[in-house]
Amino acid sequence: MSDGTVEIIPITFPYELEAHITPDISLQKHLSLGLRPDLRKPEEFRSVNSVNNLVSRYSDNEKFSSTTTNNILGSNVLKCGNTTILTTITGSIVEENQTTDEDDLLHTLEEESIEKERQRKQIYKYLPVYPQVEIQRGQKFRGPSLEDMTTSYKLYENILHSGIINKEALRIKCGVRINCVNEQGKEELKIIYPDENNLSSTDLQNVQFPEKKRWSYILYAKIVVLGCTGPAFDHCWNSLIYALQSTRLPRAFIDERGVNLKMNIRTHGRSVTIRETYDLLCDSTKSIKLNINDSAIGFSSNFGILSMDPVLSMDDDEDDEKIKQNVEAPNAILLADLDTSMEEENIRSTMCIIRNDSESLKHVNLSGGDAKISLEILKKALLLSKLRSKDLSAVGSSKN
Amino acid sequence: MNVQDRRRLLGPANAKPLTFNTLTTSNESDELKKTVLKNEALEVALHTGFVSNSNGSSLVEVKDVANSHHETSLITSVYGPRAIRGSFTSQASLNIQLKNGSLEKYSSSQLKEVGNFLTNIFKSVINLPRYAKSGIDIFIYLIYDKEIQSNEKSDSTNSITSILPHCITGITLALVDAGIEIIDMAAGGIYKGNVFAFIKSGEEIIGFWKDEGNREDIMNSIDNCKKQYDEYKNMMLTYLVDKENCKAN
Amino acid sequence: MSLSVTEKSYLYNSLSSSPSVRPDGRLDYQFRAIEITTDFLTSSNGSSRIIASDGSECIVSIKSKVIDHTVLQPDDSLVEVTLDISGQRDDSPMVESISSLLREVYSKTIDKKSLTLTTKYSFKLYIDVLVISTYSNPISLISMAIFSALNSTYLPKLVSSFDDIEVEELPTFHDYDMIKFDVNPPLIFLVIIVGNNVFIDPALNESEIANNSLIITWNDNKISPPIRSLALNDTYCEGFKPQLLQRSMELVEKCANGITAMLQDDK
Repeated sequence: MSDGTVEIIPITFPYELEAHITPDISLQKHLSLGLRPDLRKPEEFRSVNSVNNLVSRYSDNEKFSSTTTNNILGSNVLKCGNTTILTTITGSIVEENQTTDEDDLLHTLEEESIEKERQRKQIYKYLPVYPQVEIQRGQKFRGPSLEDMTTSYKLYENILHSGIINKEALRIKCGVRINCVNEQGKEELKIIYPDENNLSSTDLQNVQFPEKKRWSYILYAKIVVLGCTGPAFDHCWNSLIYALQSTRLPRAFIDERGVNLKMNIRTHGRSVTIRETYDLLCDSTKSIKLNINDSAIGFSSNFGILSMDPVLSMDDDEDDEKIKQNVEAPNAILLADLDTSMEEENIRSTMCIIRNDSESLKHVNLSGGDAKISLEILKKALLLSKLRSKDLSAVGSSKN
Repeated sequence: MNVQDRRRLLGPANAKPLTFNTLTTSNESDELKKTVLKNEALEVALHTGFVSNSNGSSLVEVKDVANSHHETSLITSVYGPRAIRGSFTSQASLNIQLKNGSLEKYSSSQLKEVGNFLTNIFKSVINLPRYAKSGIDIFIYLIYDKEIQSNEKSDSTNSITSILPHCITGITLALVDAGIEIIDMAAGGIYKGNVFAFIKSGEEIIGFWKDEGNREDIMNSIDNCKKQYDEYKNMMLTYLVDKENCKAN
Repeated sequence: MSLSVTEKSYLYNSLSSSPSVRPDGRLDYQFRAIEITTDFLTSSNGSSRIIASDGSECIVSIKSKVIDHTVLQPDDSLVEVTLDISGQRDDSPMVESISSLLREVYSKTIDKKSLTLTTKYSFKLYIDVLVISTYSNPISLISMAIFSALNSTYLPKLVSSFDDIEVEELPTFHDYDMIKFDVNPPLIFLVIIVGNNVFIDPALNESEIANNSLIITWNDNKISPPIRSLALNDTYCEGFKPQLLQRSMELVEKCANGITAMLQDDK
């Protein structure tokens, strides 16, 4: 301190520390070299591996099939980078209410709302899946986190509005279980379905199929995300689509005596006749494939847009004029398939696109953050998502 | 119970769960199964470090025909030691939670009781005073857990007992993977409904759980459980040494 | 109450030495004094209130309901236990594991036959446990309270016929007469292990330095499942030698009959 000068020594941190202290600068430094923190190129997606029907009751795997306790109708395990997503589809049966027929609803409405209602009617044709997402990030408290809830809701809305599952596809064509005598003269239980071809005419005469009641399947999806390091929605969606593609619905039947069962019941001294509500049973051997609208299926991909810091991205020998230019018009860069917390936390402008490999877009979500999203970038993202969707549908079909 | 859960999308309230009609299996297939069962007594697959956002993780897949008649697969992930909010604590607070997988088999209070029991066991295994002011959270996700049908008489009714030894193995491996200091490798065994967890080459019991059977079984089953403890411990050690060797090469 | 490190170390040494000295001068098989009142809730079928000498207090009420047991699932039980510990959340680990254990104990040990009314109907018992104040693990206290409540339970007397499989008839009861519920309920004991010694019925300061502890169920004059090990504190947890498990069970066998007799006398 004798001569009054202060020497400034620049401190350098090792890579891991710098990534921890100033993740934004570290990210910029990476990108200025043309690489991302996980060493991918900006527009490179992670590879996806997917296995269908590993744990469901219709699996080819001997371990799981034909167990009475297994109620899983379809499943998928999707691995993308370090993230693993387990999706299982389960179901239940609901009795449809006859009075809520779509046309009846229209009659009761005012003139001007009919048009609105007609649009909604379109949605009546389709049914959603009820998803329950659990993204495991080591939260200590039970119950769904905000991220779980929003992801579940987004999946629900998108399945419904994409029109992937027709109402008709989940309606149960109910069979009847009858007692009949076989060739050896023994009595046996036999299940007859109305749409089976091998029915003899005598069978059809004897059997009365339930007509007054209609049942439908309800599908639930349980999605668990393990080792999640980035945005999870896309992988959940893709895994859910794969799982739905592999889902089979069991045939359901009703006991013969349940078709028109009435019962006398005495309550408070009065005698009332009620129609017994009879539960459907599911056939443990026969099943049909869930029919989904292939044209409505899209796969999801996400993008992030980041404006490059002009000072960090310059080369040492660039002249001042060029720097000035860069500062005035910052360069935005498109990153595909965000991963690592460094990217997730620092990139505020994101894009999520669900589409198929032809021209139809199913869902586009743009959240503009700090970066300027130009038309050029949008076009590029749309093109990339189309290619990705093609790849993903190939992954799905090769495994089935 | 009457309050609707607003945080989840539950679907229509009048939906009824699927019930499948029971099938009468032919004797032929039973015999086939039995021969298969005899050949393979205990099959274990171990794997660590694949849940990338946790500090340590393990996958344990077990097909145990001899003792618990169960086929189980579970993922354990360890988060921590990480800072906790609140006042100073001289040692780490430990918390173990179990989660039902795709087959929703156990009630939440049962899972909580088992989680609490495992927490109690690992309080004497982890060197907690080394991690002041921190919390260690361990999550076990039961991917599937299936009873193996066997013709031999199995009196196990409460099946959650039989997954306990696998949980202990899973947690121990995940702790090793996370680099958390433990006093010894813990493992457990099950025999006639008695579950024992040991450390220090079977000299010390760190946990005991019994849901069925009678008093006389208890002392007799210690040796059997010790044998299983040795098996598990050897498997874990072999796996960890192999993994280190692979890394070195 | 939280003890300092030195206090704990003093306690640990005095309990693990041989012969051991418990802070309140009890012997290893001695319980603390308890005070029990039974049958004080007029609106329930059986009730009891138990106060331990450290101020822990617990109230148990038993109510019954007639249900159709033919519609029960095979794993449904005729006994339902609900537990409420004041100052603890219902989903806290302690409440959840104690109530899960109580459910396990009472649904298995209370004989279904003793609750059967007719071929179609049965009583279902609802055991409601309220722990008003607790200073140490209340499991043993709760089981003694349930024991004396069940022993003071009176159920309505059936006057209609026992066999109602043919006739559709609801069971009817006598207006005044009640029948004593005949049952031999289980008891749950808590034994702590300190060093090479075992002690029954630990007070709070003893639980704070226990190396480990065992929950042991006593049913039908013998030790029966469920039996579990339990850690009562965070700092002194350690493994124990197999002989200590044997000794803990012997300790329970030594005093269980006395406790049962004492609780049955109290009327």
